[in-house]
Amino acid sequence: MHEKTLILTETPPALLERLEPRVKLICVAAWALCIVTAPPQRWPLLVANVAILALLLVTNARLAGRFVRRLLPALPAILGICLFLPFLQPGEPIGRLGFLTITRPGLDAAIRVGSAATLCLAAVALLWASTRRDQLLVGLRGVGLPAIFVGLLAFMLRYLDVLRPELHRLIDARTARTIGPRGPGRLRSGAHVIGVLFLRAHDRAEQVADAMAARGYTGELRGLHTPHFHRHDILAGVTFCGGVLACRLTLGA
Amino acid sequence: MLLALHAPDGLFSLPVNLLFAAAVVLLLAAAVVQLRRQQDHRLVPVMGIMAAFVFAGQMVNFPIAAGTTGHLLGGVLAAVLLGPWAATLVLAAVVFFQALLGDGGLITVGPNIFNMGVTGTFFGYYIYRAALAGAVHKPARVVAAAFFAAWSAVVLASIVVSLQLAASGTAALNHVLLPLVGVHALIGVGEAVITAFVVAFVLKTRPELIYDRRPGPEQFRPGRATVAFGLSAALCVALFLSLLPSLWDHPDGLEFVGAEHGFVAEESLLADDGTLLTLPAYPLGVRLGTVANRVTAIHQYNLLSAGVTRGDVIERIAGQPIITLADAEAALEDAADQPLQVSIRRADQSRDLTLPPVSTTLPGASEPMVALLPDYTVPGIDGLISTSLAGAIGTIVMFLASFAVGRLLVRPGRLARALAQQSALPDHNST
Repeated sequence: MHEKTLILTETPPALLERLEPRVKLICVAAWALCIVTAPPQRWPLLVANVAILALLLVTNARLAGRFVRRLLPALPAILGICLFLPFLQPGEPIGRLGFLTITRPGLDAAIRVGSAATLCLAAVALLWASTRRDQLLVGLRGVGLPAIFVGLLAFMLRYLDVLRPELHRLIDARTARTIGPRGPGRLRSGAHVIGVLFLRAHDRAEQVADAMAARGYTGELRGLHTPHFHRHDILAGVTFCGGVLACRLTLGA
Repeated sequence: MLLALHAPDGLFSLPVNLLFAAAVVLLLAAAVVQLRRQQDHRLVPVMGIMAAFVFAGQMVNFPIAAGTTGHLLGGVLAAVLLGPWAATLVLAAVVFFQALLGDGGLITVGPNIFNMGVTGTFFGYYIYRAALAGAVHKPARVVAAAFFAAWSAVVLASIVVSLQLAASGTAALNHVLLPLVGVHALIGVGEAVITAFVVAFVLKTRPELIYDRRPGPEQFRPGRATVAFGLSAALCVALFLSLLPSLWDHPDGLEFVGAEHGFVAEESLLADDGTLLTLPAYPLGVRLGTVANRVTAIHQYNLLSAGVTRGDVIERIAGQPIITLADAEAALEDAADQPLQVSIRRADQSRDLTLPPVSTTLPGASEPMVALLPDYTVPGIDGLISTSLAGAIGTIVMFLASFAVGRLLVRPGRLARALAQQSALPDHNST
């Protein structure tokens, strides 16, 4: 990942990268809340939210690539759900597709869910693109998530990078040794890959826990960084949250 | 394996999100308290790596029909391997992190953890224990119970999603429930088969890693735990349903539309002998066209335009003798928006009138798409109490049914033995 690469270039970090992770988390949550609670068919509010997003992207143009890589894979799922919604509510019919009827309330729901989901996804993608994983964990602890849960997330993130290649090795080995079973046999061999992965993960977990205990770990996770707010962090956070809230209250009233 | 379970933001309303987030937080707090009792400082690293395992396990794609692939959800699997409390925390971490990755919404993370995690790790686990009926040391029964629990958990999750969608006003319950549950009853078989295979594999290679076989956990008492779980589940569902004012909008559609359009039904228009007492300013006969209890049209028969005045006696409507207002309403119900034959008597002179219907289709109330289920109304006790009662009874019935099926399933266990047999073959490919 990018946090492991040594940065030798002179390019300064993007604006959002310099922002304190706790502030970013609170801003994203506040923005998502404003988007989700928007009443239906408030087009000016939608335009305002898109404008805020565009503004953030323009001022952080360096993050655009990472942002798009985060955004695109998740879009088909949202689209898929929105394709079903027009058929799932009774109401004034506006079209027919075979024996299914598209209704106006259904279509409204699809548009509302689609726009809200895409905007919230964009907010999360921007957060992810502008925050290193360790910073994100520190931020999550900072906004009040319990230490045990954040510790769990930290271990998950760390060992995902170990278990994912392990899984691919298992799958490759299976592919190399078999001629590709079909039907139920494929389910079974896939299940066996998961089973082996469980055994290896379990053994590794025992070893890691023992090694940590040997080094004096008593169940409390400590970090080296204790992030602190600067004045500009608080200013940026208050401005952003105030801005989106003002948009929500005036344009979405 | 679930279709619409990585719910994006906006799919559920804010009250639904908050309610399920609160439920999940309570359950996670209970899980932390339970796990802290073990006084095991290795808890966080072990569970973190197990969370990475569940995350990675969800990346293994399995073919489903028509070229599409699905992946394991793993709630029941995690609970069978790690126990319900650890599995709940692990699945919560996985789903929470997926929300940060954009896979499922940020605000909908509460419902998502509930649907994808808790239904499997908690409800699924209890179904597993109920189906197991204490036979932890019989591999075939463990496999069969895991199979059944994994299937039940997927179906249960689809029911919960349907309720959440209906409560949020995103989809009507009678449109969404049957398709979603139907699809997931099929998808659940895939989840169940994979779960059973993995459990069978672990049973064969390292049976001591199955949670209920580990030394330590207190002996499970199916009777008491089952009753406690069933009652608490029923209570949860009842509480949830009672908080849904808009689940079945306007349960009594007829009265609602009548009041909306000024057709007051209570006012007595006819004397006991059928005499027209007061002359209404509105048409007397109103018939409401309904589709699946949803009012879609109003058919009126205007007596005024036919020259009826006060003091006339309505003798018959469509051949039915009319004595009370209820008779008139019943006759109108049968009229089926055809021209209406009305016999009236004025000063000992009978007259037959034919009234054409004046029909109005209500905007926004047309035929539903596919009314697979009827709307439910409980006459007399509509509202909070009846809805909660119906929810509680429904949950108890569902739970007892799944419990009974589970018990039946583990008795003969032919399929289970076959599964265990197949997985017991030496497997050199994967190890």
